[in-house]
Amino acid sequence: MGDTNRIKDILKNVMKPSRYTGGEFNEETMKEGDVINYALAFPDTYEVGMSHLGMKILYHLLNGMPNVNCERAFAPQDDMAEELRKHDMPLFSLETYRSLRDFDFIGFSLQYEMCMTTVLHMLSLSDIPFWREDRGTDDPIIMAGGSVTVNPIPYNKIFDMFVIGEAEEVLPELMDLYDTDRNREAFLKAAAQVEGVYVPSVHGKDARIRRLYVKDMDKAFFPDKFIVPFTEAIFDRAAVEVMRGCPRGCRFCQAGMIYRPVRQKNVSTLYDQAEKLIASTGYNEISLSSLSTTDYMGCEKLVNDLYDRFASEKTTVNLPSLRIDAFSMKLAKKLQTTRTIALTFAPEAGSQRMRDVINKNITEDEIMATLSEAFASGYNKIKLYFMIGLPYETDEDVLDICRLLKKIYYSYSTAAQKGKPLMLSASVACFVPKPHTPFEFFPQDSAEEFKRKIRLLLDGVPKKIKLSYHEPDLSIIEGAFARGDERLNDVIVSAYNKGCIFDSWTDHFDAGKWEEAFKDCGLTISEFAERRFGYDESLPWDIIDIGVSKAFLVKEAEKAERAETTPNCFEKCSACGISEKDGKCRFEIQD
Amino acid sequence: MRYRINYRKIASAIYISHLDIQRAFQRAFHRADLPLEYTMGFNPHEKMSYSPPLPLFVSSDDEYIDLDLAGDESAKEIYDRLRPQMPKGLVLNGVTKLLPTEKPLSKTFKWADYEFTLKVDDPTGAALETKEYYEDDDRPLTTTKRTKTNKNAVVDIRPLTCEFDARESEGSLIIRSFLNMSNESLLNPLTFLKALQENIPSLKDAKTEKIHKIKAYR
Repeated sequence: MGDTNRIKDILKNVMKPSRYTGGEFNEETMKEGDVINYALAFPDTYEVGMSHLGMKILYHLLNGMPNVNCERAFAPQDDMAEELRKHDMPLFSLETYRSLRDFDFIGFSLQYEMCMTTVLHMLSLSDIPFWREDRGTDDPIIMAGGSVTVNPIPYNKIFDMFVIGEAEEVLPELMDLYDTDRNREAFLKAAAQVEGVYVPSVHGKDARIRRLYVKDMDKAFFPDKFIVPFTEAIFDRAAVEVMRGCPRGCRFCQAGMIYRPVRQKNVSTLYDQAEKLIASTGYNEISLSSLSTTDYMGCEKLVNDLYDRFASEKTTVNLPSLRIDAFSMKLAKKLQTTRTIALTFAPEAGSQRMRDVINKNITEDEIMATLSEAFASGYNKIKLYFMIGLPYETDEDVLDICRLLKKIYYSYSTAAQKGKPLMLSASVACFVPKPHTPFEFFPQDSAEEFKRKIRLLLDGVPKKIKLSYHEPDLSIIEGAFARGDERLNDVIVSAYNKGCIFDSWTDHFDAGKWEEAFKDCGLTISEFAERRFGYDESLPWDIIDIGVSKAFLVKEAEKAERAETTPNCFEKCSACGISEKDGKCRFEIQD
Repeated sequence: MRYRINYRKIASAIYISHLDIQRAFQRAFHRADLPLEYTMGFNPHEKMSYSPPLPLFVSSDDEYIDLDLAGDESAKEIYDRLRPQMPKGLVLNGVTKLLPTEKPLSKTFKWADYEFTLKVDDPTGAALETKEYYEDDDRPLTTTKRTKTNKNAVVDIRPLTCEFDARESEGSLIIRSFLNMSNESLLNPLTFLKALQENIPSLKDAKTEKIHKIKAYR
């Protein structure tokens, strides 16, 4: 137990203190005795970390083990960090207020490249050395997992080990392995032999680490309770995971590649899990979570079953990701509540040619038909997501985003909607080429080029349409790290030492400091972000075998050049390489 | 049927804001599967009302929530179902069924008995001085507070308090007082403390250890 009296004192000086106290309903009770202490760390705020489904799964999975206590730790806000430093107190866990230093493991969940300075922030507050080489027998083993680690190389001098892929497959085994003699060095050596585990101090450049994935989602562990935060989290609701992976194969999308094959749960499994979660949490909203929920084969049945079960209790069913098609609209209408909520769609590109380049497999006619259906159903708040800077993009393609937005805007008749004006907004992201995707070979636009294209959009879109865009200076650093190599380890530490933390929050991000950090290491952002790799060139992240073959990625990249599409997995197998290695894909539904 | 839920807010629950307490109770009611009644309208919500909000960092042995339920379960039944669903630090004292003639919570309580534990250099001396000062009606006990219409409204705490006492205990200064809890002239315990500290010299640098509400009186 940490020093609770001193913690009580500093809690009086910070905003929303209940995010640091733990004690929420469904928090696990810590076991007595000499168990392994695992700190599940999320390098962002409590509100963000508590919304992450992976954290919930691992937390309850590890605490279900007889020999492990798993506690939570999040990045403290600036006021709390200042209090900790002022009183010379370490960052502490939420369950027992223990210093992170005193844990056997600290497992960081890396969901976004730009969280790395916040990882260092948490290590610094815990008085733990940044470099793995500087850590010794008394230091915790610093582990990383999450989608960022499909290219672990830019971080391989910081973390002791990486779990590549879906960690629930191997974490219990790793805990038991550590329990044999609880020796840091011996454990790291032994763990390096376990599939899916990358240990930089053991593995050389020629190692090949196979990504882990859950084979049978119906049998996979899923918690029957979630911790219920006192303060409102970003996603403060129950959620079931209807499937992992996505059948679509959009060429820019990393999740669509690294979570193959598509694995679906049975409707009956999901119904049970939803019922248990609603009963154990008291939430009045259940979200059907996945990369593309309306592609889930049992979607309509599940939505109907849950709607019938919960409507009388005022518990709503929520579909977080809607495709722009008739089926999605039908479900959205069924779930429409008396509150008019915004509908969100992602056409990604304005021109048909560009949507074919990225394999978005949606036509303008479908977009227009779906939106006209939405307007007819009374929706007047529409949000659309687009991307700029994609491979083979021309200015015409960018301007086509303006054309499409105007076409949508003028297809709406205020008079026909009882005087309700259309609230149309568009969010434009800067494309970031990600490893293990068909676009991993392509250079990213420079910040100047992104800004020029954003100006084209701002000039071309009427003021009545709300246009927002991602910060190009942030996107190019994300791009540098996504396809980066070992040299970037130093840049992270340098950026942190200059004061960078919480880089994904616009109020904290400082492009100038990052530029300096690259310069201090003798590097530039653009030499990483704007690099073009040859199709046969060896890539820093080749050490990770994601399951999808390089040949497939190259074939897809070549098809992109010809603006040729590839059908989705449910229509026709595109031989991505998964089935060769692991037998056939398991997307067939049992019910 | 309307039920009155009496609970304590202790331990780490003192860090939970009033708004978050409301949400925590709503979730607990759902988990207990109580037959909730909802308001009509576009955004239906549970029919419930609360005793005046407790400031952050203040603990209490005597807080209330009124809740409307469909059906006519016994108070004990509601208590038994709700008790295991309460988060740490929010502890049920009891549940009672209300008669239709019962006044709403906002008009029920007149006084709240508070205990303040303060750290000062000389607790015995400070206790004496504090008591003397309070009992001398000629010496001012006013401070300013924010109201809806006035950022610096002047408030005299003497008429809003009674049963005042100050003493030393285990090296700390203990101040005990009834504070007005009626809707029109509710005295916030932090405003009370601010008035004491601004007017009584030996309390100027006192450090607040604990503020605890012992009981609400009708």
